[in-house]
Amino acid sequence: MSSDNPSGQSTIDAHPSTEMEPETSEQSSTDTLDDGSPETDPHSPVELTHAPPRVSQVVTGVGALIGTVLTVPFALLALPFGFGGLVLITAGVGYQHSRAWVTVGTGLVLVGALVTGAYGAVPTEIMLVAVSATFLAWDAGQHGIVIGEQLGRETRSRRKLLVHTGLSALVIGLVSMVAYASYLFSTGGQQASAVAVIVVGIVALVWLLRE
Amino acid sequence: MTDSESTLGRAALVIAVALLAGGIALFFAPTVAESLPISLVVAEAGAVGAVALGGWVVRQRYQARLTETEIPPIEHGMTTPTPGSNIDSNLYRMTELRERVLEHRERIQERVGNIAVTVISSRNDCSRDDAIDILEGGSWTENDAAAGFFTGATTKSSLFEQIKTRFSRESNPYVAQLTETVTALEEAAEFDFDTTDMPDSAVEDFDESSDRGVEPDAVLTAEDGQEVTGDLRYLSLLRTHHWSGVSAFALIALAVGVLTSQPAVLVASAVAVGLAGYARIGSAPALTTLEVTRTVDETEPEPGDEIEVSVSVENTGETLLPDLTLVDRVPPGMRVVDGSARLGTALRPGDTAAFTYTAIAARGTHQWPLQIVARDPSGADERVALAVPDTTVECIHQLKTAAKMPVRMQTSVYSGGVATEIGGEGLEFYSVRDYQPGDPKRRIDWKSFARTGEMSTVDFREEHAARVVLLFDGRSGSYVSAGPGEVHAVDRAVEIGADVFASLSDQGNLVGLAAFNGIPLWLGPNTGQRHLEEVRQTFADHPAISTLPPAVAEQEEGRYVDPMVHIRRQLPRNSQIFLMSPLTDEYTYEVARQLNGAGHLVTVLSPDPTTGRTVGQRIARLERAVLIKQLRNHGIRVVEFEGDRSVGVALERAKQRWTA
Repeated sequence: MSSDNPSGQSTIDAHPSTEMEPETSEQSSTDTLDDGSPETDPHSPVELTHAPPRVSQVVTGVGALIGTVLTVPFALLALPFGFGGLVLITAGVGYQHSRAWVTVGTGLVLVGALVTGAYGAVPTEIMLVAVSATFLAWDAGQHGIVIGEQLGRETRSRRKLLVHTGLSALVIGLVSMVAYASYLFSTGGQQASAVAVIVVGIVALVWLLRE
Repeated sequence: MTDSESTLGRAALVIAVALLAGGIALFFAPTVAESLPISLVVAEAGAVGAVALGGWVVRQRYQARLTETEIPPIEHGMTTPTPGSNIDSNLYRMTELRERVLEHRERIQERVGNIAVTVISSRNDCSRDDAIDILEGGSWTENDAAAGFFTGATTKSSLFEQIKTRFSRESNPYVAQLTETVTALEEAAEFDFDTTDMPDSAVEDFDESSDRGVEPDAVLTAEDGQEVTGDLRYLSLLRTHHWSGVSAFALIALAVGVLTSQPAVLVASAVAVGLAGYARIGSAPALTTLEVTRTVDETEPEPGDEIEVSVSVENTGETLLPDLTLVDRVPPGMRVVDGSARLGTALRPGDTAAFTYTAIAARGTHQWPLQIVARDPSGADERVALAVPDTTVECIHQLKTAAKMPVRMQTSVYSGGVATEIGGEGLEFYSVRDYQPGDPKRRIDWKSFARTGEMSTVDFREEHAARVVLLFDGRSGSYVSAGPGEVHAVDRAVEIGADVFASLSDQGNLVGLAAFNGIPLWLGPNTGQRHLEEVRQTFADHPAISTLPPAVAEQEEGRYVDPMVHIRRQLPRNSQIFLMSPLTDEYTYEVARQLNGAGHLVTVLSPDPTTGRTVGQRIARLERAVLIKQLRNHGIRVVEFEGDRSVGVALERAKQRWTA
């Protein structure tokens, strides 16, 4: 069910090959954040560009786009939330390099998805893919921004990035599959008491799991 | 989380899971479910509760500071304040934050006033009292704003100007007037300041320092943290809040799903529940199985040499280390000029990763830590640790130089290289005098005796060794630099001092070292191989003149040694003083004056840390220039070292003044 990022999963087995790969393609295309002194002196210190790696920017952007276009276009009320969130996420990971922006943006996209869901405008499968993609975007964006701050673009960090994003994609995929499976099982008769007990159970569980 | 909390939490978790399991079991036992006296109202109530709790979580997430380990720009070395930055920060507080306006204004008024009085009295060649009168009369400058600064008059500006200043950034009329005054003073004093880096904005780079170089209290050494194993030390363990907020979505989606009976929303909620669990199950790796090795191509470099450092890490454990950030915390005086001292990686059991960088070696005996930031797979838990490989780099000045430092005519009784005004044994002709019984036969002027029949004796200029003490100003106020990440004045002074020492002792003088600081440093004037070795060690890592400011370097508290007591007690008579100081306050000026007055010839060697980017820095620059002028008036030689100009060049400039 993790159709949102199949490449993310495969990287877990692929990472040895990427280990020592210099990220030349990224170094050449860095946008200059630091307009410090030009590198005339060979003894001038190394300058780092504190921006998220391109890979996480792309994963975030694509994930947020999938999450938005699969849900909000089907409910008018959800549109401002969805696209507002998309803009915030893109700006957050692309220009502002701010975890807060990405998080608020993700929150808005998810609200958009909830509104769409509340109208029953999209089937469960589409909803599942959209929400999973949004969560993956959120995770990749935050992780990328932290990499940008701590390591900078010039530093090799591809392996760390791929393992983290791959693991997240795997977990989100697994969780989605379990959720979908239980959805398929429980579509039969719904007993009020059973639903009530489950709701209370979930609320308690989530409350205890919160940070 | 404490133990009791975690036990309670675990019990609650078990109950929650039991409820959930019971609910699911009820699905498969419809008859039991029907018999229970629970209606859908309970579920809806639960949903409403969930919305409330979700709102609470959102609020918490909103308030929670996003935490992650901040890594300073270690590539740039350590950053120290620029002289005058305290004035800038006071100005900022006054004008932007409106804090203690009167107090700060008074203090600035006093500092600028002092400069003005000295400048006027030296320009008009009058006494200080006259200068104060001139200052208060306002006739010292053509500039009305500057004159009004001391007379208390604010400048009358047109309505248009007032509106303009309201909206522009350096709007504050006080700052504008202060800037005018400083400019007028610079003109009046006729100092030849380098004004190429003058900006338009007054308080411009007030907080630029944070992204250029490591603040002294952010420097990590091999002794930081808590020891775990031989070379591993834990710094901290923290929650990153990477996933926090996901539970809010889970709760709210659950509520929406229940209230609208939309299965799609409920399934979305389930995904979020799963992720909330994922964020909780992991814990930050212990890192005890991470083996760090560091190799350096040159373990005994000279200051300024390039050294190549390679760091490799191996996961010798059985589990994956999924998320590692490695940053080599190079010693504070060093700069990374090539390669990268950082690496982000993930290590499977048995995997190795490595990185290599080039750094400029700085004096001292260095053993520095590798900072490791390790996260659990979800990224929610983070451990910060230091690994300290036992690689030591010893960087000691060789004490060889091409510069020739002149000493002054105050010498010891030992023979040496300074030509004195004493006739006797020597090489250079000095005088002819009447013969006195006991004069050596070979110094009698036989030609003159043959001509006149009178005995006379030729005297040659005696050459004596000078006794010199290099006195370092190592107080925390000397840890200043021209900009963030630049070499600070103490490091510069030691660099200069090493050159000067080498030059002086090459010329056969007796040279000693001393410093005024909380930690006493005294190496009496001496010569010889053993003394040289001691001096080299002292330059490398004596705590009184170390690269780290005294507040950071470990030091006994409250034992401030006044140099007038501790140095003068040990100072041999007839010894010259070379005072190494950035001259950023009156204290060093007093020291120089008093030592000079006590019969020691004082030469001040002063690395110049001042610049003129902001008003505060310009005030500090003026203050220093005034001090130097006063020192010179007292007959004290001052050699200024601007930027990283070598000792030789600075001496050439200074000698022009001495001969003129």
